[in-house]
Amino acid sequence: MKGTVLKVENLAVRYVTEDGIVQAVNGIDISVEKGSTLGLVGETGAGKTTTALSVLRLIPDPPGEVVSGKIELDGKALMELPESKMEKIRGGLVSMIFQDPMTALNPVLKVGDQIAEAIKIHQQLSQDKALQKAREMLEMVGIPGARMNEYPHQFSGGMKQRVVIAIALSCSPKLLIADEPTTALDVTIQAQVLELMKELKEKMDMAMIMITHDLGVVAEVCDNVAIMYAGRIVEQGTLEEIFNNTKHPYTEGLFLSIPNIDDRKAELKPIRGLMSDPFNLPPGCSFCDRCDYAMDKCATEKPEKVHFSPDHFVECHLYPDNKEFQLKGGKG
Amino acid sequence: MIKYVIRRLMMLFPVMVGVIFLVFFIISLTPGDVATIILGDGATEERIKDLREELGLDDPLIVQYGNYMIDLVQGDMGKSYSTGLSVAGEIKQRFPNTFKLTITAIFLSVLISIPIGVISATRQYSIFDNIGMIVALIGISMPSFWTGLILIILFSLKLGWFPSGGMKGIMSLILPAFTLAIASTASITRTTRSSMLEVIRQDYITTAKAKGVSRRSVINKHALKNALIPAVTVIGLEFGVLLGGAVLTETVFSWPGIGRLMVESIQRKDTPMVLGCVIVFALSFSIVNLIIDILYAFIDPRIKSNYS
Repeated sequence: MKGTVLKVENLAVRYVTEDGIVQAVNGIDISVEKGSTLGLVGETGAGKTTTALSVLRLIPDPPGEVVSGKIELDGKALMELPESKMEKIRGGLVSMIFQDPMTALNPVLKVGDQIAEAIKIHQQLSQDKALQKAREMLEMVGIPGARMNEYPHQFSGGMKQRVVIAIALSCSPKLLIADEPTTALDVTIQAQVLELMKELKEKMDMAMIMITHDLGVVAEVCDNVAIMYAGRIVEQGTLEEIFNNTKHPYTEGLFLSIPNIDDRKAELKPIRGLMSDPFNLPPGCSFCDRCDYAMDKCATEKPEKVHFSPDHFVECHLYPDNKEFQLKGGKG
Repeated sequence: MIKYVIRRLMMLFPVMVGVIFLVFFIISLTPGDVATIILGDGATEERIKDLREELGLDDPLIVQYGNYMIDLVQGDMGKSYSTGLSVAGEIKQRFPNTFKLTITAIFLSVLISIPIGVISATRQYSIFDNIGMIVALIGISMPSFWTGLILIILFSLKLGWFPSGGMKGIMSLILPAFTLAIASTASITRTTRSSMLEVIRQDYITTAKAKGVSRRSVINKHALKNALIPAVTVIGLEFGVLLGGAVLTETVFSWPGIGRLMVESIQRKDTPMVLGCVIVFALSFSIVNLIIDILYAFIDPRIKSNYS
């Protein structure tokens, strides 16, 4: 281990809307080691993107509001920084790749200028030098440098995502947050983009947070995995621990929802029901309504963290009394 | 691009033919006999008959229209029924005045409305925004002949800062230009605000912020250019409104422009003069909108690729 790049403690974010308060993130802790990749997994609305935007302090305010939490990036306490200092950090120390490459690029600016802009801000280069570097970045992500004078609408979805990656990596950030970078892409392009990100991450020795709901992507690129549900991290551990020693019923549910390629006739076992209403989270475990293992106290008491190893913990009432408890693996 | 412009210019011909046709027949529907109006009520039957013959007013309407078009194609816009002066000459003399007035007005509107629209959008629901939008609503609701009168009462009769009419130097331009600008300013402000509001919620704005771009340059560089596309459309349409408004404003301020000329000519049933004015208005409106369409290409590269 080479030290911690990102440390998030007790982060809570809510959105105050006319219809009520959405508790998007409810006290989570994350830490990312230098050069490692953390997978942040969960279904839509679990609070993954909100968590990521908090790190950049880009929660739209209003309606968003960071209720509590400490965020430490490369030794700097971000929550205390003034906006002007924060601008230096965004795109410099930490950058982000967005879900939908179709809308992530400004349609009226040349892609070369969009890449060069970040370089100019963070490396204080002249326009010419910044454009030169932008061209190199484009070539690094596999796009001919001559295309830097084209506009986003002249690129395909996969190419656009490469441009977004080029922008994100142009100032060699220490941490890259990738928010479902492959979700909007064709399956054939997904693999290419993932491969590219993996390769560049190693080349530039960055840490990465990979936000996804695709466990296939997680298996491909992550070292550690955090499973998010209704704004909480319900299980976290190394890739192996999560995949081979699954503890939380929700994590198990996610695995059971993946089609089995060896047995195409096997029926999928989706997680039943919908995620709890974020306007009105239950007092106990949020997953209680959908859980096959639910007990009486699940509905009323918040589960505590139970550690199985220094890295691996789960928040579930099944374990404090019986650490040897085994999930049924979908057989029950 | 050049092909596109040429195609658009060619399209002007059918538009003009249609406009002239419509106006020609509408004027003929208005009550009153031209010859009687010209000669006055005391004229003899004989003289009226002679004049009607001279002006070709006894021909069927369609023949009159045909004759007018034949002359027009040869570059002859005819002579005024009432003054006998050449229509083209009169328009040539008056058009620069209307041009000066409308261009000043449109510049005023754009200069005022774009910044207010942008600030209102970036501070949505702030006091600035609320006051701005209320003022804009009032601005849209006020008819320009009324605004003009109020401004005259306030600034020239009471305060005596500006002349109440006529065309003498820059001071006399300010009140009419401002009167003309008010309604357009209001609608351009509202359009700018709403398109800006839409743009600042787009993903690419978040991307720009995530790059570390400062708030100011996110707005000025990334958002404004995108928000301008709908705003520019409205500016083009507002130009038409301005020309229409010029008819009223010029009358209120006794501004010697084409608008006032047209009003006077309509009252005298001076068909060639009215047609001449309408042709100038229709041409200006078409050309301004062509310029706007060409401007799009410079703002939005996606549109440019459609023009080739």
